[in-house]
Amino acid sequence: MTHDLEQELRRALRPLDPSPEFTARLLGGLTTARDTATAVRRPGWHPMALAASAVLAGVLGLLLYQHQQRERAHAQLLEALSITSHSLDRAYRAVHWHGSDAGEHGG
Amino acid sequence: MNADSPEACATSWAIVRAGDAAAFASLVREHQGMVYSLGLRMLRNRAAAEDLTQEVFMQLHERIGTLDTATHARHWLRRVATHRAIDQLRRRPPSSTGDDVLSLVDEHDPGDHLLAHRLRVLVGELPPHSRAVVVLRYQEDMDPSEIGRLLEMPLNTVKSHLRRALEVLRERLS
Amino acid sequence: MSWTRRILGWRTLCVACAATCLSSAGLGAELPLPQFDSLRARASDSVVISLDEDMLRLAGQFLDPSDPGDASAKAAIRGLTSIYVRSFSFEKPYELPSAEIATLRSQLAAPHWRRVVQTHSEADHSDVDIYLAADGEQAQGLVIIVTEPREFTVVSISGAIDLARLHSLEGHLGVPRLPATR
Repeated sequence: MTHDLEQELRRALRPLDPSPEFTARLLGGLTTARDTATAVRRPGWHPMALAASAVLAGVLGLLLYQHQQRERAHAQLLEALSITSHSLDRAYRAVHWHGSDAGEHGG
Repeated sequence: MNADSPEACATSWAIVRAGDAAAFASLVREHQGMVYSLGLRMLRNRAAAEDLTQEVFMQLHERIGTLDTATHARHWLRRVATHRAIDQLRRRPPSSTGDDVLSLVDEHDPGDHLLAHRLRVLVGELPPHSRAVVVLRYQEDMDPSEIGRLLEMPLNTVKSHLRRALEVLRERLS
Repeated sequence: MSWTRRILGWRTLCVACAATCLSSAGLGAELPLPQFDSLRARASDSVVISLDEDMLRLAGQFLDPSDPGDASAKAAIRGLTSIYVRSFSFEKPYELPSAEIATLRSQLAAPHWRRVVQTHSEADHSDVDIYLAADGEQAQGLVIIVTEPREFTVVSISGAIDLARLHSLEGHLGVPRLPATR
């Protein structure tokens, strides 16, 4: 069943091309963007730029690591909460739907 | 030089990076279906999918010099398109343009069109991250570890999304 | 589908958990879970998460209050001091590791723990048990054990537990809400 569903999903989600009109508009827009783009070069920047880049890379690397740690914790938290909620929902449905059969005890 | 050889590919990519218009247009045509379909499946709105496609390729045009290979560019396109779509869904989800968009029929596909349409609708009703996982898995044929890297999500979280999405789809189909 | 259950009453359960309680430390309601390495080795999918108070704080910093899912999560974890999750899926029926289960059950047999929900389904051979650790009227610990033929899940949470808020998260966190079982 799972295999059939997965096959059907692959079939249903096969990539589609946009319309030829859209492609023409897209390529036209990109041509305009290329023609109007300008590059600014200032002589003498390169040594300073390299030094600054090295420092920045180090700082960014540390920030990226910290960011990845927080993202990982964030993802784990959401996963944990969703599993908790799902498990509670299973118990709730069992309790709620059959509460009318025999009445809830305690309360 | 064989057109598919690594040397030929590297040469072609160098031409694209150098700003050759025809080469870039060829790149767009090669990948526009992937980007557009990602946008369409995620946003369920043709105009929004077209806007997303345009924005992504404009951004590629600006960043082309930072991408080392054609494969790198494809990964980049997938990543950017998916993250943009998820961001848009979380900020301001576009309204679905309905059956005429989502039931585009592929005449070459002999399968059950009604089932395919129903599946597309149901996938479009999944929450953003689950929807992204399903689309990347079954449209792009990515494995869970690749999806996890693209979405910056732990592998087990990807697998959970996939498992539960399939459960939901199965339940709703039945 | 036939269910047998012994329950406290879902509304009573929610009210008990929502009662004011800001510290579980004195009661020892934090219940870290074993790793279940033997299950992990045989599982086709496994989720093993251990978030202590520091990790919860770190994760909470990343929650975006303008995002509805993140806002719900932020409210749910307010006052929590730990979350442990062990969830395993199998392609074939599995056997629970007796030693680790025995340890878990013995911890839950302590006087401050009470099993408040016990359900069994003949239809899908599944069991769901919920335990609460309470100091008088105040709930400070929650353990949920779900046992199915191809899946085993244990969740352990300590702190100020809002059961209703935790239950309502499904559907908001980017995980699809399962349709009601008929």
